[in-house]
Amino acid sequence: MKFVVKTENVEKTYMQGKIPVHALRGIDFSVEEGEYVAILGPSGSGKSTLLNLIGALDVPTKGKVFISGQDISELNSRKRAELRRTIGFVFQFYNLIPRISAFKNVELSLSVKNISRSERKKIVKKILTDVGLQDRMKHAPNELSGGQQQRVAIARALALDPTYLLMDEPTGNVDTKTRDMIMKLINQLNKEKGRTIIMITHDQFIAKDSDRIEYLVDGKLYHKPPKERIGYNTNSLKKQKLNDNKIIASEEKS
Amino acid sequence: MKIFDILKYSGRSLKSQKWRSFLTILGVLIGIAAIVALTSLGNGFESTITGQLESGFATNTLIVSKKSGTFEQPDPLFNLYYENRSVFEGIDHIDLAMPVLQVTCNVSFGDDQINAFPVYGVDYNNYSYIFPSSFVAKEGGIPTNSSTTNYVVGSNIDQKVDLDDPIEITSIFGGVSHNDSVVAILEEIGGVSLGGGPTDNGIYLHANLIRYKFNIEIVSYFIVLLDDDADSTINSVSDAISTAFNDQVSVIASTAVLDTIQSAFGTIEVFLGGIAGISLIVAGIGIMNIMIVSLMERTREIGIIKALGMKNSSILLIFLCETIFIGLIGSLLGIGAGYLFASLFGRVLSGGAAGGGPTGGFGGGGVPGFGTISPIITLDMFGLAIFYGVLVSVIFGLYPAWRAARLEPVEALRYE
Repeated sequence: MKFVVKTENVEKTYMQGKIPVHALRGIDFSVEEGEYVAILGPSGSGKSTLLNLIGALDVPTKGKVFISGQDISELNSRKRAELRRTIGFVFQFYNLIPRISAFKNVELSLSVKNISRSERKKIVKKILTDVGLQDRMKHAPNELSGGQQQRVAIARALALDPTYLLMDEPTGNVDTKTRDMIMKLINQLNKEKGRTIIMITHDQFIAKDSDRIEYLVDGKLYHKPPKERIGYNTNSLKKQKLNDNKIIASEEKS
Repeated sequence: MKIFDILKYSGRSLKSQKWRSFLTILGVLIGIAAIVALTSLGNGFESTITGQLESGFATNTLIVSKKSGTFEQPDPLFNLYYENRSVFEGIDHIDLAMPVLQVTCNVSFGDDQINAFPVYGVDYNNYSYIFPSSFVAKEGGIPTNSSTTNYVVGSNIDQKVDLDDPIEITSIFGGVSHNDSVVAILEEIGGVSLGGGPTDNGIYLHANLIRYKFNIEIVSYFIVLLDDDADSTINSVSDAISTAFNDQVSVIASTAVLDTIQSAFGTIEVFLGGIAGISLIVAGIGIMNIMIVSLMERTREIGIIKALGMKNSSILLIFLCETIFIGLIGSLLGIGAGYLFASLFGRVLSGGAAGGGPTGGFGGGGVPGFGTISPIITLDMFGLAIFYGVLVSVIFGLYPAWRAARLEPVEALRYE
């Protein structure tokens, strides 16, 4: 299988005033094409720092980050910007541009890529329809609910036809009903459309549908939860996943 | 990102903050309007004045008058006399040298009187020969007889007298009087006399009458007519005249006077434009201020578009296009507003100045009524106004744009 993201002994240190903060300490991690990987960690564990690195928004202090085979430390800011066009970002607070409509927000990512106007219109209409917002296209973000805004953000990420989707707490700012709906959408994107997804979250519940969970604690990545330190319960996760599968199966039967 | 998309994005940003954009544009508008108003009014004023000066203007004349030097003291006993005409006869390229006499008089037009007014003594034939387009009668006829005792008056004087009406003049020094009728009223010349030409406020008698009746032999100045107006001829004749009078005279070419006036106007325009330019710089600082505020407000937005893969150069262009829009709209509106203001002010100025009386001037002319001063905007000025408006906007918008482009995406996305 082909790696879309790979890190080798990545470290990131930044200064908080005069104090160095070691946000990441030797991260070895990779994601294959078509995988759905969740990175689970509490606040302050280094999740956002890792997201910045595998999103080509930042470069590591030490070690290497490969995105689509390219070492981001060797790319200048222009090349990194070009590389980011192959990544679909979905943020916790949606990060939509407030003064323009849902349609324009999605279209913006395509105009960055120099796609023609007529082509853009076609793509945006299709994607917004796919995420169920066909009658909300002309609405400004403040006229949309949290769930709708997040769907616009997902549509914007998908419009670029990215190599992988990078999601930062995508359900962190919505109610449970909307959360379930977004989780279903993400699941569909991976299982039905074959999208590679890397999701960063502190909520083990929303990580349950992923193919693989990595645990980030104090800047270090674990393949199994360091239970004694953060209290993640793999058994409960497995149970939850089993339970969900049963519900889905019974829904499908009925 | 394509340039059209960048322009659209910038336009949308400005539109989303209508009031702020309007006020920033207003700053540029005022700056450009001030520059346009002052320079176009200056141009109009210069054009009016030089136009008036040039009417009846002879390019091939010199004015020779007694030196009133400031750097080197002239001989206080030196004077130009009527008989000095003969001095000019030996100099090449001189077609004619005509003495102009002047006597300051109290002038009485029936019930009306003007005190201390200059009356000029000229040879009517020679004066007509030198200024064939301005020393022309609209009423009556200019006498050709050198023993005539009648008056020829400028067109403004016909407000006081009609043809054949008597004028009595009494010299201030000596108390000699002369009373006779007006035999010719000149066509309207419209301005100041340059190179000793006739004026609308002039009262003329034949030189012989001034000489014999008022016993005046001292000449105010000589008008020298040359056989061509080439600079080399003007220079060589000027030198020869100076030498002939032992450097006691000043020789001024009428073209030089016009050049000096035009050059002075040019300096004034640059000065006024410079003052107005300060307001444009203030507007530029306003732009910078607003763009920095905008940058702070849109830091997160910059982070988002950087995360979407927008290049630094595109972000720089987005911010610069916003300032260019501000500069362009402000300049275009400023040109209109400046022209409008200049037109109104020009009208007020024309109205106020039209009643200006004779106060004496170069070559015996009076200060004219200005007529209508219409501001002049040339295509160059139009282009320059837009250029400066946009240039100032770009200069002051460059720093915020550069800062926006240089923002680290991580920092920008984290910005609250």
